[in-house]
Amino acid sequence: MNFDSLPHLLTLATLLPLGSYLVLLFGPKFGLHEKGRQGKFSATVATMAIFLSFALSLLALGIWVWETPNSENAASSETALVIQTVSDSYQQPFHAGNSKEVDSQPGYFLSGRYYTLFQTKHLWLGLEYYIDTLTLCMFCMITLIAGCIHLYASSYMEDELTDNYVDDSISPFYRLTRPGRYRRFFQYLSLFCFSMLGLILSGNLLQSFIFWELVGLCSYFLIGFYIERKKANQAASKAFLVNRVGDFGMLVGLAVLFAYFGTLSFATPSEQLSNPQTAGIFNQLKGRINPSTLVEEPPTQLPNDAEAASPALISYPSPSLPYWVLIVGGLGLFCGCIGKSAQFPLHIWLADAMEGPTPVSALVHSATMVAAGVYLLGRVFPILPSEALLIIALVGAVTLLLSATMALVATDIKRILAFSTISQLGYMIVAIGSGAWLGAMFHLITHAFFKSLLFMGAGATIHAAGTNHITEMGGLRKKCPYTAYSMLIGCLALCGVGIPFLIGFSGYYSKDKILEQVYTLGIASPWTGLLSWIPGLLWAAALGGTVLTGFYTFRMWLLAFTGQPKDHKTCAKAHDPSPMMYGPMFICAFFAITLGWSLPFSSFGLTSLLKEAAPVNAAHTALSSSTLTGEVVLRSSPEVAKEPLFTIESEPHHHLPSVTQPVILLATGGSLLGILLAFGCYYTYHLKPSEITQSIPFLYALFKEQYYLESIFRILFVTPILILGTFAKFVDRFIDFFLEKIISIYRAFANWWELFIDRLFVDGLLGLLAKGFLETGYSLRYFQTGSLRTYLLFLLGTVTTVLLILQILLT
Amino acid sequence: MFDLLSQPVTLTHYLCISAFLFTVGLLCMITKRNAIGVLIGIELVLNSANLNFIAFGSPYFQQSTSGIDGQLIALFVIVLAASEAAVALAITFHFYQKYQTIDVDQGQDLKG
Amino acid sequence: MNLFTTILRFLQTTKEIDLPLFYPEVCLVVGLVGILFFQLFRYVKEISPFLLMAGVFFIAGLFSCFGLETQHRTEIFSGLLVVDSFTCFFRFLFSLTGFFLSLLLYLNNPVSSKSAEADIAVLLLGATLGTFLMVSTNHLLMIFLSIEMASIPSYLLVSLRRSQKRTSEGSLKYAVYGAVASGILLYGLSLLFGLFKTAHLPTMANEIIRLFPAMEQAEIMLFSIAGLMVIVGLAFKVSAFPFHFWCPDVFESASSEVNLFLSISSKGAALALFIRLIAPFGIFETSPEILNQIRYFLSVVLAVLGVLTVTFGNLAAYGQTSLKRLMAYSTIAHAGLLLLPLIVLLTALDISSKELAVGAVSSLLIYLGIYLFLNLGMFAFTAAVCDNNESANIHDNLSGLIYRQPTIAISIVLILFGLIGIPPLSGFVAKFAIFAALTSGYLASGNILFLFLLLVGGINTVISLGYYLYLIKIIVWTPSTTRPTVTHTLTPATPQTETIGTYSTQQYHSNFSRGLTALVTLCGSSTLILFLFWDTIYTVCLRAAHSLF
Repeated sequence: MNFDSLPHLLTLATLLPLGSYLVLLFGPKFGLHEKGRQGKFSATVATMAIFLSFALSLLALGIWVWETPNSENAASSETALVIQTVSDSYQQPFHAGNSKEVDSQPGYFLSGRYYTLFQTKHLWLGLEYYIDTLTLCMFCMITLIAGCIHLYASSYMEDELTDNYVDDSISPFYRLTRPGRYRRFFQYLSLFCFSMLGLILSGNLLQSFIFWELVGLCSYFLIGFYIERKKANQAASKAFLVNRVGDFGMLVGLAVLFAYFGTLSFATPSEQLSNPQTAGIFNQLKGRINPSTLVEEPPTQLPNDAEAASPALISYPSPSLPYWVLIVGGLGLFCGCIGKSAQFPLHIWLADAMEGPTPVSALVHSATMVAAGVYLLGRVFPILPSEALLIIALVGAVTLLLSATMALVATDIKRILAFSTISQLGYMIVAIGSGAWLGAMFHLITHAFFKSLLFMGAGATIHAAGTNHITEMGGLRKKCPYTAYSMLIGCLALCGVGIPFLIGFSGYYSKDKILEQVYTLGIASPWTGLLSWIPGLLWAAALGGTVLTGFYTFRMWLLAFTGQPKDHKTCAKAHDPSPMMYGPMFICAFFAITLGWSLPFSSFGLTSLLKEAAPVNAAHTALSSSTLTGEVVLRSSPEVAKEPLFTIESEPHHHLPSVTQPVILLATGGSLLGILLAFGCYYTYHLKPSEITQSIPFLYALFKEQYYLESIFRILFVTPILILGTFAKFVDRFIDFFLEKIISIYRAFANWWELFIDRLFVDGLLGLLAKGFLETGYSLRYFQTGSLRTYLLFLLGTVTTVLLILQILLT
Repeated sequence: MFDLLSQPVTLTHYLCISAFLFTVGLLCMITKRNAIGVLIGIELVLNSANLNFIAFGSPYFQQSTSGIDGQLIALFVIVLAASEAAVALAITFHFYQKYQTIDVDQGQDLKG
Repeated sequence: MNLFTTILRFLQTTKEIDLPLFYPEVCLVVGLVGILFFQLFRYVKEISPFLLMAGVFFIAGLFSCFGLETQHRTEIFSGLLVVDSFTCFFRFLFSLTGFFLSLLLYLNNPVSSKSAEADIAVLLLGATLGTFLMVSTNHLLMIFLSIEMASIPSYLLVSLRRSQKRTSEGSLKYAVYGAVASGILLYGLSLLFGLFKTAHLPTMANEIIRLFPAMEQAEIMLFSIAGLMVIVGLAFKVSAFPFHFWCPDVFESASSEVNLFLSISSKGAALALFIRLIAPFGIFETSPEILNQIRYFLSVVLAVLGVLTVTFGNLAAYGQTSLKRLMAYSTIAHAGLLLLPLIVLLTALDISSKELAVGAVSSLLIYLGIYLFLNLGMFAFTAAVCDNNESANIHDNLSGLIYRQPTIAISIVLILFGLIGIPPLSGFVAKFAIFAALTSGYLASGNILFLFLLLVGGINTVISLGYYLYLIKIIVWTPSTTRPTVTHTLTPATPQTETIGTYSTQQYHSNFSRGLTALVTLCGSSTLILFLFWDTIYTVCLRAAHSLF
């Protein structure tokens, strides 16, 4: 077991859920039924597949950690794959005179090709893989959470195991009875796991896009699982369509990046390292500090080194394309992320996506699919120019605040969690935009665990209380202690609670990393001009978001689990769920607590793993606007880098104490403030929420109606199109009249043509030709007379004829 | 060709004889209606080729660089001719069982 | 050197060099003798000889894989045979054919008694041994010996099903025709032997190069007559146009497994023999202009043969009502197409372009490899259906197949589309390879002949659409003209005739056991799989072709 087997292990881990999907798909042909004991077989197959994937991912991670490559190892190993270092791909950071420390541990990755779909001299399309610690961590996280959700769902969806599932939420007038769809649920879950894992493993942008779409498709299936409910159908269509809008931008971005770089692969595949034509996107940035300073560093090798003179460095990124094209590409990719990760303005689908069953929300809409956008941004981080990062950060900040305010007033427990997911995704996007790559990825992984924990708990609560709305629940703490206290752990992790400077939940560490980077945004290299208030705005948004997070999270927990039940009838029968349901919750709770810590007596932990994959790049520096339309300037030109407008520094591995101290205190203080306010409102009843809402009726209505965004979008987009349609219909009527006239003339001509020209000439000709062939064919049968002597005569006749011809020719 | 008759025997004589045998055998194969007659024709052809091989391979007629190849080949061909004749006879027997005749012209069911 | 040391040295060479390279053939011989021997013992003879034969072919295939990649050209048995990657490729191909053939025989059970089965196994092993030798010939004797060794058992194999009148007629025609052709071949070989005083092919090539510029008119005449006669003998095996008359009759009267053998092993070996004859004349070191005339002559003959065969085969298939006869004409057409890369090979030798030569030969090899699976599917189907009903009528057997047996119908439709050569199926890869070879030939040499051949190939693909699509139409659209009664028994049922209103008379029995269905489905899916992974096969073909030069 060495690095050679890593791609195979991960490929196998990706294909196992696909195999489970196929087995479940063709199951009924071979006797796999919905009901009874055999129904549970579907869950067993799917769960075993995903846990097997988890084991393989762990094995892969273990191999990576055990055989940590260092320079001797990489040079002398017998592995066929060449382990490339991240620093091979782009320059070491150029931090002259900077007091931030630079970690000298380079990151490693493996990349290679699976299958060539299409290849010409200049274009290669196919399936590739790209493996570094980020891939491995995501694999382990996804397979573990998916495995937990599978276990949870095998018990949650048990009522689908019958032949007669009664659905009375379709209409108040009748109940629908239909056969259960247990097996199909696990089928879709397996397909989803396969798509997600394929997305993580993919090594070029086109492959990512394919799996991106596949993930969206599975999300459509899963949200619209209850196909008879109109709301579920609408929600599923909305999700898919909004995603498609984002994907349009993504396609534009892909095309632009392809034009700029000439390839869509992330890195040069291991087999082709010496070929400059196949350099991947990251490799092409080699030799430049960053595209935006437009200063070319002297190559570190001697000038007669073949690679320094290789065309890859000179021709791509294409010098004929201006720099702003790169910005368009980066923003295009971000468009896709806006759609998939539910940022403003395409966040409208996530709240409605809660129509699907709760395990779907737990897996798809909190941990994995919506994280795919953030993951993609993290992957392509080195090629994002700083202007794009600025816009990303702003969008993330807006989303953050927007959805946090919407969560303040929501009453459906799943909606609160959905808004919370959007808000936390906003945090991750802000992190990416501020340059906190490590913070974003770390927060992604920790968020996955505590959010799926919260969703699973929400599902258990809904089962227990019989209602979705927290305003009707209360006091469930005594009846369902497991659920309550796991959710408490989840809430604490979400708020990022911890003892400052000592220890905390996983959310504490990840959120702090983000906040530290946001804090340092304007400090080290101040922003000039109009943009000088942006760092402050971002910091205020992030901090305000912390307060709001604390408030709405504990509002949810307190209303649901403390106090007196509002609706005694439903809460009377509340009980803890079965072990199959709270077991996974405990697993996720465990990780929600410990993921921020490293193993005792060592520095090995999630953070150290992710650090290995962190892109090593220098500060992104934006130029003044006049150069945005200019071209890439080489060193030899007299023009030197202008005074930068703003700089997005790279993330150091440990911030200075002058940064960490205020940030940690402010962050912890902020979340505690929010929690105390929530306690004040809903536990000790010092503050009356009803009074507060009456005093700010406008804001309250704004939050409750989700900023009227639905109506705004309808007025902005849907209505104009309808008006346009009506107008076009009127215009059509006029056109139709003239067209009728022309058509009748044309028809007469066509009839004449068909009668005379077509039938006589063309058909006749073809018929003659076909008949000729057929007749020839039929007549050739007469050669075969059936008489042996005729055959022999033919043979001899041919030979004699040819000999005679030869005789004549040669003499 | 006829002044060959008055000369001492050389390679040419052998070649003429074998050519004659070949032609006779070929004509026999084509014109005979009797299956055995056809087989006789086959034997004639194969033997004419044998004669060719031996004549060309003989060290008495020309400086030969092929050693005993000619005669060796002739031996093998004799064996093969015998086996082919055996097989052809077995097939003829089978034909006789079905058609009650060995007239090859009677077998004309397969045509077109 | 006295005789004793010569013999000792000979024995040593045989043991050390010759035998290890000869393992596949040894395996076949051991299997042959073993199967015969096993008939003596009471309990052992209960094992089906077909299964034993399958095992023998499997082992022979394994042995032939050893040299597939790296075998250099080695002459063994004192120059009689030559072994290189080309030989190993063909050995593997024929072992594969034999393996599937024995599976097919086992599944279909054409004869009733075990001793008859042993006879068939022995004959088939002998015929395959002959084809193995055909692809490694290096000597005039071996040409004749191997051709006879491959043909004579197949004369007997054609008369497998003893019950029908037609099989005796078919085998008689085949035997007589084959004997005539081999007689002519032998005479031609003897003339060649006499002209160049050597029977060893590379030596003969040297002699030709040395002697040809100075040859007199009469000698050139004799040379061309001899060459023509050899071509007649080989063209008979390949079933080229004026020498194809045995093919439809034999295919109609023989059982389908033997048809498969004839269409793949026999034709493939003959084509390999063609290549073996042409290739020694491609000695690139010497000046190739000396042999230009000879190559020109050969090109013309092969072009005429090829074009006539392809067109004739495709056109004559139109009016057929018997499925097996149609397959025979289709085989003739494909064989004609396979003659065309030989012309490219000759041109490549003309202009001393190794790349072009390798491309031409490898296109032929990949065509044969893909054709194996296509034919296997078709003949497995006809074995199950036509042989059991004693009637190969197309309408009776194929109509309404899509409702009776959908899996089989879909596989057969895929195979038929593959035989036409439509992408994305494997037949397209094969046809494309040949057309690519022709185009490269044209680009390299500028000879208009290649454009004409491309045109002919294209037109013939269109012509072949006529009858393949007709078959597909009958399978998918025509309602069944017989009353369907599907019985899944393993013994052939005798047909019963009854008149049922407007339906035709035959009651339809099919013998589609699970194994046969699996085989046909495998071939159907191979059309798609081979299309996706043709790369791997093509690399092997390139390697094999490379070793020729």
